[in-house]
Amino acid sequence: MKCQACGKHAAVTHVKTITNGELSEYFLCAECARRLGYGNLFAELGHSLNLLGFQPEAEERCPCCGAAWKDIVRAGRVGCPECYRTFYDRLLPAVQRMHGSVRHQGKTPDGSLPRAPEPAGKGLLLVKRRQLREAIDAEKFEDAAVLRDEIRALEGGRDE
Amino acid sequence: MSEKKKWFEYAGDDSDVIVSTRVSLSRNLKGRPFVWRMRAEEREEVLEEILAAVGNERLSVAGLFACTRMESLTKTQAVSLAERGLVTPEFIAKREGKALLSCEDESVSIAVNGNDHLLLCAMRPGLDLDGASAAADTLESVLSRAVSFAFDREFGYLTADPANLGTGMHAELTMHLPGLAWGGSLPRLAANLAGLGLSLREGAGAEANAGLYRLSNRVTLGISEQTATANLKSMAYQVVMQERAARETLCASVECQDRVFRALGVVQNARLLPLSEFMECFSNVRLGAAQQLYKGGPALDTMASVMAKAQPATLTLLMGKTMTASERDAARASLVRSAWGPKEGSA
Ligand SMILES: [Zn+2]
Ligand SMILES: [Zn+2]
Repeated sequence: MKCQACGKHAAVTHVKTITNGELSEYFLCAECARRLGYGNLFAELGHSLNLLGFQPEAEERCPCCGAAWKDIVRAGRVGCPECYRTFYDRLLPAVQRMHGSVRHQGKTPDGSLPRAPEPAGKGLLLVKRRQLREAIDAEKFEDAAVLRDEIRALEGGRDE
Repeated sequence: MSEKKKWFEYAGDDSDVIVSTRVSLSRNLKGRPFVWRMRAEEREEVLEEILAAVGNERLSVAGLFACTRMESLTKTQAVSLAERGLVTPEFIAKREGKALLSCEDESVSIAVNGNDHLLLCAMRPGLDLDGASAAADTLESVLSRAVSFAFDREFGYLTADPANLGTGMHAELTMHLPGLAWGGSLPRLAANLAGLGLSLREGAGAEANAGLYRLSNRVTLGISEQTATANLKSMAYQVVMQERAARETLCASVECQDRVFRALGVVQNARLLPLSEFMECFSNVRLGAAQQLYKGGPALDTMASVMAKAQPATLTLLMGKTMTASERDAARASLVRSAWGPKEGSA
């Protein structure tokens, strides 16, 4: 089946949408799913991690919810809060790829961590630094050069 | 729908370009599997626990929310919730064990047993990231006194999809971008924004015809709520500036003015108004209102309300009867005419 958005590539996922008052299904290729915001980045990363030979030894299951790693990858979702500990080693690279960071900042349940005032543009800087890493990984050196200059500009006094 | 004015029946800041603001927080209860790994009885327990929390007399939210169990709705009622942006189409596809708790003007809601146990959501007209964030944050803080959310020092609030880890916060602006769409610069703009951790995408379904787009943050881990919304706001301002500049050029052309006035003619006079034609006219009329191309016609603060009521399922509920396609197009035409047509005697 062809993708219903571009009509070119093979559809790999179906999403729910409302068409003229009815709930309907829409078949999309991976590219269009991402573009339209339906992509499940984690499922894609999970698959590529498996392809990279990241196969779990034996059938390890989460002691809390019983999910195996393959269940998680297939669903594109983690089974329970405890899974993050059970499959920590395998989740960490995926989380890092998705967020560029693996350290929570912001609200906490006890509110005990003082929220340090963050300098303006710091978030932008973090994002740019991550992109720079990605650009270098992907050997897109022209992009990387632009990013490097932008990061320097951000670091050395902002003009907005 | 109740009689009380809904949150979207007001105009907000920068509403020439920004239609509305939505901030959501994903949360899960401690010590339970995520929704997709739960049995029906467990989903019921989660709902009971959340209902007990929002009904807790000691909390300031007591009595604020009405609970709608998704299973109890007709298909039309469920679709109408999705048309009004209260839930996603995915949420109403499989309705077992799901519920929507919402306050009377629908500006604050809690979707229970969707992707996560709770999705707390606050909506505001126009650009109001501070207002929507504060509303969602307050609701979360109040609830956290009655229930414990799954949290980890390193990964933050734990969610079924690791893409939402950390703050679990997604802030989203619905933007009307006919100028940039016409200029053809949206794909490049979207690519640039993607590089900054933001996503700009076309509205789904009928919205695609109306020049409506969604701008939201993608990254939730390693960036605080405040920084994420501040980034989104500064980028949104840039998009707004670019859109306004594009509109200046666009609206100077007689072709564009012609489209606006033709659309005005259609919405004020048509006797049959199919959804796709309405959405296209909507975009042109909204552009005309925002750029003040006409006087005394449809006002900007009526746009969202007419848009919501003109959607098929919502319109069907409003009319209180099932209709054929052409009856529905006639009902839509009459609804739009009475909201936007020349007033009796003044025409
Ligand atoms: Zn496609
Ligand atoms: Zn688990």
